[in-house]
Formats: sequence, structure tokens, C-alpha cells
Amino acid sequence: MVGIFRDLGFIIAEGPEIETEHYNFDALNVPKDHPARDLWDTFWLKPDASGERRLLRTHTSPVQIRYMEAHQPPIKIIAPGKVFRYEATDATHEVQFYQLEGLWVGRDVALSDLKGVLAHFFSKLFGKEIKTRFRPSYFPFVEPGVEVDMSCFKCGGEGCALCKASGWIEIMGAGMVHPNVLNNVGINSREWQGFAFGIGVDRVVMLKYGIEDVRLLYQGDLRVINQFSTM
Amino acid sequence: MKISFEWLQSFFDKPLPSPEAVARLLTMHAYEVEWVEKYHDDTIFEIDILPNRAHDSLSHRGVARELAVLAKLPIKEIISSLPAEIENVRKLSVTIEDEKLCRRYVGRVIENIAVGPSPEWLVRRLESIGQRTINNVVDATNYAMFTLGQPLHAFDADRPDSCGIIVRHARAGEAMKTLDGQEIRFTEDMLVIADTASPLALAGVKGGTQAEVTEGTKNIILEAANFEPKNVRKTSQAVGIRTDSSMRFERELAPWLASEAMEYVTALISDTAGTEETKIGITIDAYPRPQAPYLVGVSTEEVNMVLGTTLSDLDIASAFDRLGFPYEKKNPVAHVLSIARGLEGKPYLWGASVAYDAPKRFDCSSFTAYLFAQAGVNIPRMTVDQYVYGQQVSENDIKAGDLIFANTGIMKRGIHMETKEYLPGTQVPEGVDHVGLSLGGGQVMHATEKEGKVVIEPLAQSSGFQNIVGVRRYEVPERFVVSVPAERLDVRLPVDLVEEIGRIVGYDTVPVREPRSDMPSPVPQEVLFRDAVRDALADIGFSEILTSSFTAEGDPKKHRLLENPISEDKKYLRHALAPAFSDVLAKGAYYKDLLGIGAVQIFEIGKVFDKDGEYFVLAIGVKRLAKDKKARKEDEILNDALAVLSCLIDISDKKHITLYFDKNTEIAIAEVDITYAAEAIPVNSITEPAYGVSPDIVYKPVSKYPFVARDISLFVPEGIGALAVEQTLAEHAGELLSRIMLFDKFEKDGRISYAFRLVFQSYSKTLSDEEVNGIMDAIYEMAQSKQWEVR
Repeated sequence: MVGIFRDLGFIIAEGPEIETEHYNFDALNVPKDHPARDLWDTFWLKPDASGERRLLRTHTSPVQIRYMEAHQPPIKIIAPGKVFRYEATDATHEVQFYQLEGLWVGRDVALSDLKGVLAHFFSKLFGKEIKTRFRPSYFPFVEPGVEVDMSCFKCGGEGCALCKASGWIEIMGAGMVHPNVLNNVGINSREWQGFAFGIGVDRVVMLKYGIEDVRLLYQGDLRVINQFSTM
Repeated sequence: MKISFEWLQSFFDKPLPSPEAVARLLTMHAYEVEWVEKYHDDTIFEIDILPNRAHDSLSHRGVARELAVLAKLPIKEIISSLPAEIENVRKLSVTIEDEKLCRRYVGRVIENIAVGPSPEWLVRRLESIGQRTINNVVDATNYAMFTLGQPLHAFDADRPDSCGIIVRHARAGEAMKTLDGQEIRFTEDMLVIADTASPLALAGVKGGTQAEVTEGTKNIILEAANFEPKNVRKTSQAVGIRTDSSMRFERELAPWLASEAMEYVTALISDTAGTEETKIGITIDAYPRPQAPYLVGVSTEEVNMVLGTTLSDLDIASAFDRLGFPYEKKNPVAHVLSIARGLEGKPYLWGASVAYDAPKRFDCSSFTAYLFAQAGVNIPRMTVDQYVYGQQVSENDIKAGDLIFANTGIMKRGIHMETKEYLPGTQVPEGVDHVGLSLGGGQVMHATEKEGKVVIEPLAQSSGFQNIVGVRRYEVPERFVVSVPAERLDVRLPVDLVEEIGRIVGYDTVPVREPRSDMPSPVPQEVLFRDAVRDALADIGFSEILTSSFTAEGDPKKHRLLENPISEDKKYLRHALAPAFSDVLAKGAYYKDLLGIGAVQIFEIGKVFDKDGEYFVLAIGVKRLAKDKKARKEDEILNDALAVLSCLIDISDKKHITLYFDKNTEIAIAEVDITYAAEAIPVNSITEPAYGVSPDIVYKPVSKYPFVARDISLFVPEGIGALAVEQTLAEHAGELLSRIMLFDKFEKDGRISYAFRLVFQSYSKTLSDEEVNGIMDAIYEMAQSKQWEVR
């Protein structure tokens, strides 16, 4: 997945798994005592010597903030990495999983560019033409915020068991970066604009190959892993 | 939130589209409908109302309004006011001691009601959305909340020591028993509704038993209030009580809603619990700082810039019409100038709020901020921020509508040298503390503390502008200035308007812009290195695994503990990868026949943690499986892997590697600290692995039932190859055969002996011995018919 984006010119950026509240929430327009914090169930660490409250990052968005603080726009990056959510585990939920987030900020990067980049990405990933569709949603760090559905790669949109007869699969969240987020890292939101997206890598892998339980991916189960031999 | 279709329909005279069509409209243009279920004659929707729409849509009317826009149907007005009696009802007094925490309190007394069960239609509606019913007064307040989104509360008017409501902080030591029987001890930051003696309710969260409305209640006090969201949330978390009421206050409501809800619930209670003697008191409305309507502006160009669409002015105007957002098209600077003069003489107030004090009182920057806000342009609130926000213009070029900035040198209020909120920390070494509006013709208009009011005077003679530091212009194209409906607290910025237009017009109108051709980016050294390690180890038969970042054991002095671990055995962040390997190696050994492997060979690259930080580590693990003494030992296989690794990085320094050996379990593990490694490698010396290609395999799900292994040895005539025998065996073994492996071959007396291991497994059950025996019998029969001798 990283390969498809780097071919489009997205630079790979990485960051720490232990983060501060500032980088994981505040800088992303998710202030303390705001109900939006409930959207992410967080693992907190016992305070260390510095006394600052640290957490395990709930998404790789902090990597985007760190990168924007250190670089001038235009910015085109993807941030893959392990993230953590305090959630009960089951076939589709794990406390740790992998995310791939993307950020593209330029003079005139618009929602239409997001559609184009994502359609290209899915089509390359599934090896056939995939359409995308946007529905209104909300994340504090984007406005407009959208849920992205992709056309079902199994039935092509006709309707089947995988897409619950709708022809569409809900796959990720995205949107146009919120002006507050840009201004807070010193990027003038009146001169620069762009989109951000975040996708769960595990979910994509499970969808593409029909893997039934996400927990299998973190148990070192060779019955699953060895099927993916490239030899 | 659960929404009843039938309840929604009550807002419309015309029939709504089908529930499925309603769900589709809402999901594609407003909020996601998670499921739709039939409930007796009704249909219930579960709608995921996210925090941005919680201000207006956590109610049936909110969703109905949205539906009215999307389905283009007129919505009915459901609020009506009943006449109130001024004289014959006991007087109610309301005192708000903390205006920051309670923004509005509307109270009213209703006398002579009869408390009893609620009417059938009310019970049905509340139960359809999963609410339990109590009595006709409490149910009415609940019903009103689910209709309008405003939480309401009713007190028994005869229980408090007087008809005097005080909204205040709790005092140390105060406590209350809630309606659910829970004892709460208050802390001083919690807000309570009290009489002169004690707290009656925890504001916005839960009522207490003292003034509970019961069957015997004859007279009630109704409350419709607005509480500050952060405090309600903190309080609710501290006492561990979460209610439909606290949830709504946490997400913030428009204070305006309280009075409407009071009228509505009054009419409802009058209907459900009213008697012939019922008397409705007047409303007492404590609303210290009423909020002015909020104006936001956006231009057609801005909308198209963000969405990538080519909408016209007409498209935008129609979208606002459909939404019911009143708007005017304005040229901002022209509008600013047209309203400015009318504010001459208004009193000065330092720190005046644009939302609450304007247009009555101003300070210098609230004056300019207010003017532009009226024109739909939100400039920063502080003088120094406005200075940085604006476009720089020469003093010789001053036009009407420009803002003039000065440094008065008066230290009383402070001179600012860096921005506070806009691009925070931007340096302004010249220092700025005063701003005024140029009216053209050498005139400046400003709110000045010296004169105590807003004045117009020649710029050259103004004492406030003796030391001008700069002139700024806000060049903004003609725009739609929208007056945001009071309940839409989420619409505050131009991009919020863009979202409104985008979702109403439909995101399907956003075109697909093909990715622009950019050069592929270089892969960072550290990433390249790790992927090269992966490929190198995979090439020699190692499988990459991922294990949990959490572990049970650790040293609290050296390792990181979690404050809220998901379970006792996952309370540390892992400090090494090796500990998780013994389980994985054992499991691999257990499934060796199913996997068809001669040894378990695994590796993991992941982060480990200690008090000083986090580090990338590579762990390689081997477990020997072969019974044959001649087969390679585990440490040999491990050394092969380390040899391959040493081609990529220098691992001769012992401090970077830890080795574990266990002869009993035949395990060898190496743990390598690779954090230092990537930097040490010369740039461009690593061959890039193939990115962008995903494995083209068909995945077979893992069966949860045990497998059964059987061995078979056969003598076959010379010339018959192993593959042919294997294929024949596989054919006859049938679809329960999971794997077949050749494990021995030798020649004797002109014949070849092949030994195979067959592994059987079912997806639906545990295979019995009889079933497997049956398959083996069929195979033996086949062998006999071919004259292959089974040993």
C-alpha cells in the first residue's frame, strides 16, 4: 500500500508510538473535555519522570503534525504505523493495529484531488477499476469531513454478500484539513489547503484476502502467514 | 440515537418517503443511519449523530428539519404558547450565581396538576426508542427532550423550602441522593440547582429525591436551562453518572432553545396532567448574556476551491435556500463602511466580547472584529493577531476600509510583540496595541479608552495614532453572508459553510481529478533498511510475524507501565520481542504437519520500550522439529540468518545482539537492536525491494478443528516419479486433505519407496478416526489396484 502512494510522490514519514496529548489530540483540534475525545478510546501510560501525560497514539495523525512543524508546504506524505485503541477485542477489533494516513497540502489541493488519489489507490490495490463515493461525516481535524466508500471489488457494485447487497464497502475516513490544524502548525490556511485521510491496513488486508479474524494477524499464526509466501 | 419513523412523520402533513428512502437520504447527505428495524407498526432508525451535529440533531425535530431540507417537504410548527397567569400563581425566583457555568435558566410554576400514568400514545413513543416511562410529568419532560433536544426537569414545588431556585457551586461536604438512589458527594467545582437549604439536583446531570415528582405532587417547578459543556462533562465523569440530559449538555446546546422547550413542555403537561384548576405561572427567564445571531461568510470561489467543483452563484444560493439559512450577498469592505458610522459614540469596554457586548460596547479590536464579522469576514479577535492576519499596505495607499495599527506606548494594557491565537508565536517586534478603521479622506474611526467611546477624527490629529506601525487591508471578494440558525452551533467558519453546501448539493457532484504526475518519492533509509531485512530473511525461509506490544512481566523501575491496561497480563509495554517468541514457536511446532515445515523459522521487526524511549528491534527465532539427528540444528539455522543479516549491517558488536538457546526445547533466538543500524549504512547501498505489489494468492481460512495426520509408505515400480504418486494419493484422499508431504524416499531392488504424510482437516467438525480410516482404506484399495505395495 505504501508503494502505491510513494509512486504518486507521497513521502513516507514515521513517528513515535508513545505520544503526547498535544500531538495526538490538541494539535488535531480535539481539545480536552470535548466529547469528540470519546471517538478514540485511549491507552494512557503511568507518568514518567517528566510528569507529562503520555499515551499510545490512537492514530498516525500526530506524525502529520510533527512533519508539518518541520517542513514548509507543499506537503505530500503518508504516515504508516502501529496504533492503539482501548477496545474489547473480537473478530474485527484489536487493541493494536496498523494505519496508513495521508496528507497533501498545496495551493489548490481540493476534494476532487482526494477522489482521484483514492480511486487510483484502490484500483491499483485490487487490480481492477474501483469507484469511490463520499458521505458526510465528522472528524475534528477536517472540514468538510467524509466517510469514503469504495465500490465492491468482488461484485463490481452489483451487490453480494461481502458488500451486504449494497454494492459499496465502507473503507475509510477523510476530509479537507481543518484551518485550525494548519494555523496551529504555522501554515497559513488562507494560502494553503489540502486533504487528509486515514485507512486501517488490517481491515483492507482482511477484505482483500477474506481473512476472517483480525486477531489471527497478531498471534504469529503461521497457518495464516505462510500462505502469503512470496517464494 | 434511536429515532421513530412515526414520530418523525408527525412533523409533516405530507407523507414521508419510505423508511429505506429516508435512511438513504440521511446517510448520503447528513448522518449515517446504522440500522433500520421494524417495531410493531413503526420503524426505528439508529442514527449515528456525531458531535458536530449533536447541537441540533439529537432530537426528532432536529432530524425532521434535516429531512425537510433533504426531501424538500414543509415542516410543521409544533410550538404553541399557552396563556400564563401573573397573579394567582406563587412567585418563583431564580438566581444564577455563576453565569459562566449556567448561561440561561428558564423556570415556571404550574399549580394543581394530577400526577398519574402517561397517555398511551406517549408511552408508545417513548418505549419505541427504548425509554422507560414513570409518570405523566416526568415522561412529558423526557418526551419534550427527545422531541426538541432540550433536557428539562420538573421539581415538586412544595418540597423545596421556598419557590426560590439558586444555581450555584456545590459547597464542600454537600451531598445528595439521586432519583436512582445513588449517594453523591459533591466537590466545589460542580454546579447544583438548590433551594436556600440544600441541593435539589446536579445541574444538567441528575435530579435528587428531595424534590422528586411523585404521585402525590400537586404543584411543580419546571426547568429549562443551558449549562456550560465542559463542566457538565467533568462533573458527569466525576460522579460516574451519564444521562441523556448530561450527554446533550456536554455537546453544547443553543441557549435560545430553552424558552421554546419551556412553552412546548408546558402545553404537553397541561394536556397530560392538567386539571380544571390548573394554573400556569409566567416564565422567569434568567438570561444574563443573550447571544447575538452569528454571521459567517463564504464566496462561490472559496466553495469551488475547497470542493474542486464548478458551482455557480445560483447553485450556492439555492443550497442556502434549501437549508433555510438566510443570507445576503455583500461586498465586505463596502458593508463595513456602511455600518461603521452608526456606531459612533458607543461606550468603550476593555475586553468587550464580539458575541455578547457588541454592538453596545467595544474595545479597539472588538470594534474592528465586529464590523468585519457583520460582513461575513471573521478576522482574529486580538489587535496583534489582526495585524498579522491582514495584507500589508503602504501608509501612502490608505483606502477606506483599511485598518490602521499603532503602538501608543501606553503600558496600561500591554504592548504585544507576538501573536496569541492566529499563527501563534509570530513575532511582531515593532509592538502593536491599538487599531482603528480608515474611513477615507484622512479620517479614522476607533474605540478609544482615552475618550471612553467610539470616535471619528482626523488621523493626523489622533493621539492614539501618533506612532503608526502599519496599515492592513482585508481584500475579500464579494461573498454570501449567512445568518446561522441558532441551533447550528457547528457552523462558525467559512469551511463549515462549504461542508453544508457540499453535502446538500451532494458529494457526487465533486469530480474525480486524476492524480497529477509527480516523481516517485525516495524511500527513507530506515524504512528501506527494514524492508531489505524482511526480504533477505524471507528469501532464506523465515516468516515475518507480528505480536502484541503488551506484555505481563516487567520491572517497574526500568519499563513502561500502562495506567489502564486492557488486562492484567498486558500491563507493561514490551521491552523485548523474544519473550513472545516461545509461544509462537511452540504453536508453529504443533501445526508443523499442517504447515509442511521442517523447522519453525520466524522473525519480527517492531518497537520495544523502556523508561528512556522506544527502539526498533529485530528478533529471529528458530525451533528445530526434525527427528532425524542429521537435520540441521537450531543454532545453525539461526547463524545462517545472522550471516545474511551481517551482509546488510555490521552486527559484530556484541552489545547490539542478545542470544538465547534452549537445548531442551531446541530453540534459538537472536534479538538485534537495529535502531542504530540504519544510520550506519551508506546511502543508496540498499537495493530497493519491490514496492506496490501485493501477493496474488487465494487465502484459505484457518479451521478451528483439529487436524489428523497419517503416514503412508509405498513401494512403486521404478520410473514412477514422486509427483505422480503424490497427485494420485491427493486425488483419492479427497477434499478433506489439507496437505501432503514427501518425507522419505529410497530405492531397493528395482523399486522406489516413497513415504508421505497426509494431513486431514475439516472446516465444520472434528474428524473422527473412522472417517479418516475410511479415507485411508480407499487409498489402500487404490494402491492395490495399481499394484503398489503398502508397507
